[in-house]
Amino acid sequence: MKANLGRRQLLKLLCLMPILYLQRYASSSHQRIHNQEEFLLVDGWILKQSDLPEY
Amino acid sequence: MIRDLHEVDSNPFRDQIIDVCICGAGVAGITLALHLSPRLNVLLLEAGGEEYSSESQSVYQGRIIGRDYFDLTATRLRFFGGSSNHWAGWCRTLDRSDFQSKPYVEYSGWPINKTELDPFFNRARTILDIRSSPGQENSWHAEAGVIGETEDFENIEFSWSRPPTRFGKKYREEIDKLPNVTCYLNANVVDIKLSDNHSAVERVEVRDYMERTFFVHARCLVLAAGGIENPRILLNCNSQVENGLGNEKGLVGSFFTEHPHHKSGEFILENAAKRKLAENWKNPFDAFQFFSPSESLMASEKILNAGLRLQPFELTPNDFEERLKRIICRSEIAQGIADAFLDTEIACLHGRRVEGKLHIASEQALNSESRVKLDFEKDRFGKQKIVLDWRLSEIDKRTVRVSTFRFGQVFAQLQLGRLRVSDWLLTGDDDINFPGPGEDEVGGNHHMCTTRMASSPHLGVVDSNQRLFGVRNLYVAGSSVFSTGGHANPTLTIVQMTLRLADYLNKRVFSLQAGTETVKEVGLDT
Repeated sequence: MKANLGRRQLLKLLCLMPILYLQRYASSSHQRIHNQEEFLLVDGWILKQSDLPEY
Repeated sequence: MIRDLHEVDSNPFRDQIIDVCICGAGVAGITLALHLSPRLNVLLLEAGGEEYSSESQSVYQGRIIGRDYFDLTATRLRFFGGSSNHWAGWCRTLDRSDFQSKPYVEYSGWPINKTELDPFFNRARTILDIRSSPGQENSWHAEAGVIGETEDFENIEFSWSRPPTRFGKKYREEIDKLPNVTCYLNANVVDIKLSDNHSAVERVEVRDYMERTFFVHARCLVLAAGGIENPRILLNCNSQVENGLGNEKGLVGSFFTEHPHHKSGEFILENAAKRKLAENWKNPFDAFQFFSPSESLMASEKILNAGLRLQPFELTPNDFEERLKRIICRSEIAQGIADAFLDTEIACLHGRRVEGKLHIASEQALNSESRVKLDFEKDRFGKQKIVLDWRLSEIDKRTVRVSTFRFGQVFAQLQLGRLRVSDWLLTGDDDINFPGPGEDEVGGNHHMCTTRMASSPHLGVVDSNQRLFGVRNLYVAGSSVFSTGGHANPTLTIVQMTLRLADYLNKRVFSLQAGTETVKEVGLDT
């Protein structure tokens, strides 16, 4: 249980990191365009949030 | 008639009444000579011969002190036909927005609108043998989503001169046969002498490679020697005016502008986009697709214009999901997730193959510090060589970075594929270190804005009719008079502007002959 909680917190943090990373380099203050979809910057790749596997 | 100055014994220009003397037989010079009225006696002076020679080319030697650039003897050619002799043939007109002032960019906008050049498009197209882009029908992105309808990007077209028009080869015979045009080869313009009050050109000093000097008296002089040589000639004419002709405000040679050319990303394609592309795939060149930031994106993000070229170079099997998985697996963050939660659920595959690259040729903001100026070292004619100090600024970096990021988002959103942004764009705008030669293309060999057209001498060197401010019979032609560079390759615009100049000079001469305008209004000496 405790281990799962730790994993969930770690997952949340890890998922936030690329968003924060993209935010730093994104061209404007808004991260959502058109259909409000969020994008991530992962290793230089601009990915859709939905590209990440569901855990 | 085409003659070699080396083959004349006495001054061939003596006692001649020359209406228009053109310095430089490149794209602008030849176009102008061909389109001036047959009623005008035209002298076309070419510094080189009919073929490449190191003797002529070495006059282009210069030094580079700013951003690393191509060798100045390689980025242009100094013989009949000029740099069209190594032109690649890319054509596109400037955009309407290129002519408009942008409040967030100093020295933006032109004193004329695009509509003033549009009437010359069809004639320019014929001169340049422009054919349609073969990629226009291969709108492979249409299946997955029409990118032309997004707010942020427009799907744009380029055309090609195929094979690229070599002006020296194509128009040699026509120039030779025109009764009103005489072209002299190996004729180097080394000085321009003004009248006593410095308001008009009085004579042009010409020298051959045997060190013989000749003087030309012309009613009108047009410099058409290229974006680096036009300012060099003006700056070197400093015997009567301390800092060179037209340089009272120090703007001759300022604003050297290029089109920074860089790989800004690489991509993988979604299966649907790949299938559509495969239907029309004949060769990679046909598959190029071009995009440009919309006017609203430029305004909202305070960026300049840019041309993005989506360039597929490989069609792999329909394995988009597999490739996406590899990307995620390879990233450190995702690897951490996988390690922590998924254990062996994702089998990370090593090695990543992309299916194409995103290339960007962007507009450069005018920057008075980016310039050509005279060196201490002199050429064989005793004229000071050039120093090129090319500089890019934060907005140039931002234009490439923002365009790439936003394009990557649209690319993913429209289910075309996924884009990886090049590493050099993952730093802030204040880090203006662009990749240099050897790492990337760097530039397009486009030398622009060094005698820019402007509404006042405080902002540029020539007026809206390409006449040097303050000198009533000295004109400049070619990309050096561009007020801004846009992102499009300059040759088509050079031809359009030169046709406009020819029309202007023809009309002025006629009105002078008809007595409806004075010498001062017309700008030609009698």
